[in-house]
Amino acid sequence: MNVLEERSFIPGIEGPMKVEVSIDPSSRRLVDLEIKPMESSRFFEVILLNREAKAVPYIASRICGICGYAHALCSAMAIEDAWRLEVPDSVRSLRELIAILSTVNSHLFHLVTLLFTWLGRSRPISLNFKRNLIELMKVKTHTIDKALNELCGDKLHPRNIVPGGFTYLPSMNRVMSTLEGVNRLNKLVYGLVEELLSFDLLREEDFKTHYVALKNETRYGLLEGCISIDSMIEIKVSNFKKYFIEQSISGSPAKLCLLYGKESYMVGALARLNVNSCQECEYRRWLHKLPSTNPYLIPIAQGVEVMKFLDIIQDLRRELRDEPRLVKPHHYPRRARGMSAIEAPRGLLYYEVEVISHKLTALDIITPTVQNLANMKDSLKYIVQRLLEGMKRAQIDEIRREAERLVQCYDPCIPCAVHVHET
Amino acid sequence: MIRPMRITIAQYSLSGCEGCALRLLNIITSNEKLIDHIELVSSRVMGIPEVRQADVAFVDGSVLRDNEEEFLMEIRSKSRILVALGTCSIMGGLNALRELYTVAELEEQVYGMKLNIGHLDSAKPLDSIVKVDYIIPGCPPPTWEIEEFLLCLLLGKEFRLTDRTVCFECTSQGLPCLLERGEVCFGPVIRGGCNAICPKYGIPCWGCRGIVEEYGMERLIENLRKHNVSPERVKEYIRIFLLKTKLRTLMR
Repeated sequence: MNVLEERSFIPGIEGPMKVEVSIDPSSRRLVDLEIKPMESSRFFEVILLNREAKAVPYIASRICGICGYAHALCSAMAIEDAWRLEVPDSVRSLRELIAILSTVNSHLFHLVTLLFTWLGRSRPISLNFKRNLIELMKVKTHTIDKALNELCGDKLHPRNIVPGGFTYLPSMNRVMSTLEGVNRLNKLVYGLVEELLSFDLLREEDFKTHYVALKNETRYGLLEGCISIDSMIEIKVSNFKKYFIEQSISGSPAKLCLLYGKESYMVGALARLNVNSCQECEYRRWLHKLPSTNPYLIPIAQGVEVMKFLDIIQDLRRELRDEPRLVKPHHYPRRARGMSAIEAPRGLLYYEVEVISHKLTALDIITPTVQNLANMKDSLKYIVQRLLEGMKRAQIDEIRREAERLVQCYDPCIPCAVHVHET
Repeated sequence: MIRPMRITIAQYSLSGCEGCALRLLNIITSNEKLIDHIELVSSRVMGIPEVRQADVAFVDGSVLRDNEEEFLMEIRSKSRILVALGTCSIMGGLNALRELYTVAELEEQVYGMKLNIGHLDSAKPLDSIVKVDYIIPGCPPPTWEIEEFLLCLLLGKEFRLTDRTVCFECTSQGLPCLLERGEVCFGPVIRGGCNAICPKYGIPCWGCRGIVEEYGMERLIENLRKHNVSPERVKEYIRIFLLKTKLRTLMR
């Protein structure tokens, strides 16, 4: 029996992680496969307790440097749910725009780092394409990043998101003008995805699993809707924990979340496209078919989403108005629970809170990576076994390369994954 | 005018959100002035996970597990200049809040079991383990300050953090004083350079860039009392970024 992989780090993902694969070379059979996140826990679910509600999104956004906006929004919305506080449409649409901008930011960063990570491991990337990558990052900085900086003070950790809305907002004219250049991103992103597809690194696989995402009948949204399982079962956010069961694992800082407590499922860009069908989307041809069962196409699904979101940004940009953006509850409940589920860039993010008056007293966070970890493990098992079956003798390097690439496609965020709490 | 020199840069993350790393990488991949003068030789996120010799190593996050101490020492041995990037690496930041509990309590509350994976009781800043040459504070540090640091390196100029306070930057923009509204704001004693971004967006300064005006701290606490801010509320907000500072001692 060989332990194939004993690495401290898989490049290209946030947070260190190790994958250990044991195979029996003589029978070319997979014996065992383990995923081990190596990040330390930061115990946010404890350090956030007994905080004033307005500070919660500010601190929660520091759980993750790339999904900070999702944590801030989801925590604010869960507290509003506990307070039974309805925010005005102007707040809802601005939040939608913010969620979309931060998702585009996250996806583009992932796609660019993937290309850099895979540089030199396949055919060389042309000088012209390198220039395009730099141009893309520059345009992103001057449009998406700048708009987030304008709207919330910082593109990594928003400052003004609180339960009830925003503590401050700049003039919407300024925000609109920063987003004028977004059109320039279309062509560059198109080129990026085409280049990624031409790499011939993305294997064709048919890994059947469950797909879970928010489903919204009116538009492709990130913040509102019911939770859909395979487009067949639709559940309310308040019933999340009846279907999705989180488990601690001995010796691991990351938990696992399983459908009905036993089956793995996928969340994220590919799951969102699968669940919402997106029949009319012109870029779905990149995925060959929808629903798609190929986890190697997750980065391509992110590319499809970016193209869709760039169009939606143009629509939302025109709807921006300078309107009051903060509401407060008439009275704070003595003790109440609230839930929220939104689509973070990497998939469904769930917050459950208990508040006493304006203080947070209990918290449970279930992050996208916690939900994807079991699925990543199952798909790795599937791929490694398939590779072994196709080999005359076990080729360790190739198995290592494919395993690493598949993990990178999932875009896992380990700093997020190790911050989970069960109340 | 930038001298035609080239420096090698390494980026490493210890325990944290990695936001500081993403900020640095974003600058490296998109700043036209810098791009031709910088070579990134190590960065897990960018696909180069090995620790390599470099002119400058940027390290974000703090040491929360025993194996990270060893990792940090290896980084130090291979770096000419070591920069602590962000609040967690300089003063523990949000990570330091674990010190209010024992590891056993935290693990029991979050996981319902003991993990035995080498979690430390405290969040160690980098300078408690190795020599740190420069700090760039903030959660996250401002883009302009990282760019300024890189430009100074390339030009052979001395890099200095500003001694202005957040309060100075806030008032010079004519922003309404949040202290006067009864908010817990540490702006009068906290290092500026962030352009008072939190007060500008309606959130008081909670001190992510660290204390610069030590003499003013007692006056600040007195001032907070005058505005009827209870010591408990002040403590709650010290316990965001400033748990390891003198401000906390004064509040005892």
